[in-house]
Amino acid sequence: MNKRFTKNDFIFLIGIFIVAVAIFVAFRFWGRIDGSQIVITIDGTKHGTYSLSENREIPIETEDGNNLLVIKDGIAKMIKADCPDQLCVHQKGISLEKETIVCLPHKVVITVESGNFNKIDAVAN
Amino acid sequence: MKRKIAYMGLFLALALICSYVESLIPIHFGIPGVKLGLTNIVVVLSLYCIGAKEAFTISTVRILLVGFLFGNVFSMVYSFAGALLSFITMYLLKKTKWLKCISISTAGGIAHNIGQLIVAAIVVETYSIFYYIPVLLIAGTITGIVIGVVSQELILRIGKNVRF
Repeated sequence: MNKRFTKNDFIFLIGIFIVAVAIFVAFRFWGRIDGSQIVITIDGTKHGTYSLSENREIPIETEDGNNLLVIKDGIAKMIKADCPDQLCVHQKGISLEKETIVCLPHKVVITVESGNFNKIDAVAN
Repeated sequence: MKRKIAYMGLFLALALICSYVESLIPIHFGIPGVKLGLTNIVVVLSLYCIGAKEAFTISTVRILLVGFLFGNVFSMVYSFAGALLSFITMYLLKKTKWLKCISISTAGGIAHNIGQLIVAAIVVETYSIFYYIPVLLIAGTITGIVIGVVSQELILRIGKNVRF
């Protein structure tokens, strides 16, 4: 066709677009459930489970640095982090199932879970 | 050979400037890893105008320098994973000669995001961050197309002048 864009490119880009939208839609339908609790994981080990329904501040202390997580009106948001990139602080608050806040430098992961809020587990943690 | 090294230095300097400019853009999309990827213009350009080995060298040295200048060891590992996967994808696709710059750059953008996500998942040992795959796929496609168009125009306009 020409030196900028050929039929192959058209097929390739349309293909990628369809795959991306399909995955996007699939994740949307599958993951739109309000979560009820958040799980904090530090360096792969479970650190604690907190209910999203009560407002509170949770300081997170790790070997690599400290973070401050705030739960307000059912939304968990990272407020402070003493890491240089501040990516987790700029991230949106999370409230839907499987939504995640990650602080890579401190290896902290906060994930929303839904359904049966297991009180025994929460106490055990 | 001397000219090639001069060109590599020039491209490396360009890549550094692009990284710097990008670090100045204060837009956060609320999702980690979504960014424009200006440096990919330089990587694509050197892949087409100089060669694969040289483009890879430029990309690697760029990550080391940017890591020491603006980031930390951690961000270095993270960007290296993205850059490596992105480079391999672009190199292999270019070798097939089926596709033009736009598609190659798009594939590179997506591969970059996937590479970073894999490293992030390994580092934090949690697979729930793959939740971000759809957003990163779409973001990678859009930025990849934009970067691809720019690279294509640059290659058509200045590519012939890069001779050694």
